[in-house]
Amino acid sequence: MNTVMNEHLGKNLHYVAHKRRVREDKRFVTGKGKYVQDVNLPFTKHAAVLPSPYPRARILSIDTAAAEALDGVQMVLTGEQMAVDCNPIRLGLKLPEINWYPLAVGMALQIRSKAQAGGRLRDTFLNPITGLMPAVKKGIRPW
Amino acid sequence: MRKHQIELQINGKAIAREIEPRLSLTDFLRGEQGLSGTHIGCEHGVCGACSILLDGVPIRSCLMLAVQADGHALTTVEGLTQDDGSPGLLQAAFQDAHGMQCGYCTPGMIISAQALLADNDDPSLEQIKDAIGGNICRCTGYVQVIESIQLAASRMREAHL
Repeated sequence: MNTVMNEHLGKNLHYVAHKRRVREDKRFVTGKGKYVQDVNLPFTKHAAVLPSPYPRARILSIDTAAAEALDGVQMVLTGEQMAVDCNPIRLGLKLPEINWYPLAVGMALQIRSKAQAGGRLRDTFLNPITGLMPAVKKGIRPW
Repeated sequence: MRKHQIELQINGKAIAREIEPRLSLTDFLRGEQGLSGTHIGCEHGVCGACSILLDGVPIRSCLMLAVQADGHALTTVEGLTQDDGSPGLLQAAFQDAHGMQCGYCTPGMIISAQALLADNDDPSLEQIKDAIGGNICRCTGYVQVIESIQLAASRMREAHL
């Protein structure tokens, strides 16, 4: 079929009537795929969002000092601070007596300093969660 | 934080490192060892993307701390290639039968299949399904994954003859 067409058209048709092999499979099967997760740019920051452990609650206070003191934590934002730039977080959360805070209590960003080995990026990312939890538990009162 | 000394074998290579106790095995492999073929999917042991072989047994590396791997021999998807880096028998079968779509679950699938075929080169359809039961393919390309494993099994049998 291909030969007939080639003769007819006077061209070498590489892709017509040929079974083509998928080229990218080789890197996937050997573990050499490149996904977003594998992209490691300098100064990449990772974020962790800590939601309230209670579906309906009022935040009395948030103490971020413990989280901020941890090695690798660059910044801790409360929901209140985030709301200044992130209005969409408030959508659908305007029921009476329900503050929007419980769904976005705290946010921690950290940066991997040049001295840190690669694996510590996500490692340090876990810190703010454990650091924030006691503070949040103290600060949130379930209704 | 106090660091711990661990000595283990990864893909046949002896490794000794000082690591923090909270470091997960996935992060150790991906970050410290540069073996990014082991993927992070759900991070709570459901998806199977982080599967590796621990002394020949398939495990979730996201559910294990790196310090727990002390003294064990690990095999990741990178360890199943031939010496020159080209795909090994099982990997070549996945490639030839196109046992993937986006390829994200593929390393985990290959690890599970490797564990299955290590002591059974003629698995039934049910056994194959059971072996990859812990690996989720969000593209839902399971049929070709099964065909890939069947192809690998048939090639293994031919090689043994």
